[in-house]
Amino acid sequence: MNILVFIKQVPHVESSFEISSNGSTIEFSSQTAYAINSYDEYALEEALILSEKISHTIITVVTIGRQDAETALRRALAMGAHFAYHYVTENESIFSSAQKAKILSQFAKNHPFDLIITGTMSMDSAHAAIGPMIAAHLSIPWATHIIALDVNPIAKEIRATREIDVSTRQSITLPLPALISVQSGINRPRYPTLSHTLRAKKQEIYKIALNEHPHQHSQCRFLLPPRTKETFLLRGSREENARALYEYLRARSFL
Amino acid sequence: MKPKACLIIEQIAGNIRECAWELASLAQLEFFRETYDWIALIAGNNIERAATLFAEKTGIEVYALCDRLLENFSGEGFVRAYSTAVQQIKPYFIFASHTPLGCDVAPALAIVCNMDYFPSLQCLTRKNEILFAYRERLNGKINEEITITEPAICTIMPGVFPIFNTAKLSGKVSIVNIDTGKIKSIPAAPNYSPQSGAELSNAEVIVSAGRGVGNSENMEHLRNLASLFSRAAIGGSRAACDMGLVDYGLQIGVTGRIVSPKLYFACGISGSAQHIAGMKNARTIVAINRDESAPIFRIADIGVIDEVEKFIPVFIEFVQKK
Ligand SMILES: Cc1cc2nc3c(=O)[nH]c(=O)nc-3n(C[C@H](O)[C@H](O)[C@H](O)COP(=O)(O)OP(=O)(O)OC[C@H]3O[C@@H](n4cnc5c(N)ncnc54)[C@H](O)[C@@H]3O)c2cc1C
Ligand SMILES: Nc1ncnc2c1ncn2[C@@H]1O[C@H](COP(=O)(O)O)[C@@H](O)[C@H]1O
Repeated sequence: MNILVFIKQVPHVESSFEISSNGSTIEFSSQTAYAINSYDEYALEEALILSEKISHTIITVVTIGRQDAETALRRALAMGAHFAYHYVTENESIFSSAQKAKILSQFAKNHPFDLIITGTMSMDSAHAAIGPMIAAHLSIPWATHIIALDVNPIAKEIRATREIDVSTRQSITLPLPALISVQSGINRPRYPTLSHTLRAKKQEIYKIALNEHPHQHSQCRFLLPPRTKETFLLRGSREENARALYEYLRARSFL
Repeated sequence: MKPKACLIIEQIAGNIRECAWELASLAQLEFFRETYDWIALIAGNNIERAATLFAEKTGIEVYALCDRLLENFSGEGFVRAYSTAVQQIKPYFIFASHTPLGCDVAPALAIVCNMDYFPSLQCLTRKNEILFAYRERLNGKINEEITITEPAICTIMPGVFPIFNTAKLSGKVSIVNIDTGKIKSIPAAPNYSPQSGAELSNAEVIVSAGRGVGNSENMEHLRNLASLFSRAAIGGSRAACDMGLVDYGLQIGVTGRIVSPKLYFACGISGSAQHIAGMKNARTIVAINRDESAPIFRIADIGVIDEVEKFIPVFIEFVQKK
């Protein structure tokens, strides 16, 4: 079975950043830690679990990202992916979801696959768009927010369970080829072993030049969000803060 | 005749989902009400009652898109139904909810109908004939202002807009029989099984864990904090549930429980829109987070910039000495 997993490299939530004075760009500090989008780690782990159950499974990871997104691909190889492809761009964020979906579906048209797995969403932008867009381009069935997956390689179909909310789930059977996007919590992504990490260092990463130069299709401006409340922020020592919080709660009869 | 705009109304087994009533309030915004004729699209099988209810309570015209193959939800089947309607109506805008079902269909519909796609919106305003929308980046640390150009499909973050269900006049209902044709997906009926965690609805104080709590040993500090109060319960963000710090039944947020205790402690929670939608009505919000720019501090009444596992024991000791 051939599985494609689309992954994205994202900055850590605690990263510090600056918005340029005209609001057009976000500059992350040089110490920013980047990692595989956590939803995509779940996607890759799901592919790895399948490859342990179904022999001759080949997992290919693909990213559109800056030169340094290679780190994410190396990590994916170290986790156990077989091949890695990198569409190199200096600015991933100016591509719209539709443009990225088009590039990735073009990749799928040129490579054999039975199953595509994506994350539910990018942690940094929360669009949750690319998976179903790719499925629409390829005219294959899809299902999103998947929290359980079973594959029947003989019948060439999958049975996936989506989470609609924590109390409501729905199962759906899709013939392959198909696309799913996975919701957080579907599995526990593994840590790469040392031997895998060493092997991954030497593996080739196939670079693909991007011919499309996206134009920013909509005007956008970044701002700091407004405060909805006047928050009383405690910046003292730990003991001073404990006292201040105690007094605050006491004054409101909570303690 | 005014140009048309559509709402995609979610239903499960004939029951309209909460987020649909929130979309109805968009159609009430003055500039939207004056500019467009609104049509709500509900797809399914045996949904006439739901369609009538929505039309009566919102005054919006409803197209009930019906087919046997739409009995249970599949992205494939529902996109087929909506796109058939869209070809006929030619709307300038389509609004769907940014929910698991909405996000399954809306992006694919944008490709099939060749419309622009603007997901995850939280606010819409019009200035000088231009429509502006806002959405979050980095789990709420940054606001992105975008200009929306038609024709477009937009998804709206649930739990942000108010519910509208108090129209005086009913909207018209049309039953449209859809020929879904062949679909490859075989969807099953949804399965509802209520999770544990009912105690959260009655709790006066909720101590909620996020990814920043780090590990299950540190949960002890949160339990000790909760035990300072009577009628207190433990909850958590989605990330805390995924890490196994709390049960999924205790997940607070749009896809978990919506709570409104008197006092809410957000411990190591960043404050994504999906979490905030579940707890913003708490009367007093205390946030403990080591990152001063965490968006939770924008909705908190009082914030402690510190490590959860270090601050809470010191706080408890201080309270116990008093
Ligand atoms: C369809 C869908 C539905 C969802 N529904 C929900 C929902 O109902 N409820 C929900 O909560 N989420 C939901 N989510 C997930 C949501 O988008 C966020 O990913 C999630 O809320 C993040 O949880 P968090 O704040 O605990 O983690 P993070 O965003 O990772 O934040 C962790 C925070 O902890 C801080 N921190 C780290 N270490 C420490 C320390 N030692 N001391 C103090 N602070 C520390 C960090 O600064 C950071 O702010 C949903 C997502 C999807 C796709
Ligand atoms: N730049 C990218 N390169 C490869 N895959 C991506 C990229 N951006 C998003 N994806 C995939 O699409 C999913 C949904 O992302 P999004 O629509 O951006 O929220 C992610 O979880 C990834 O699996």
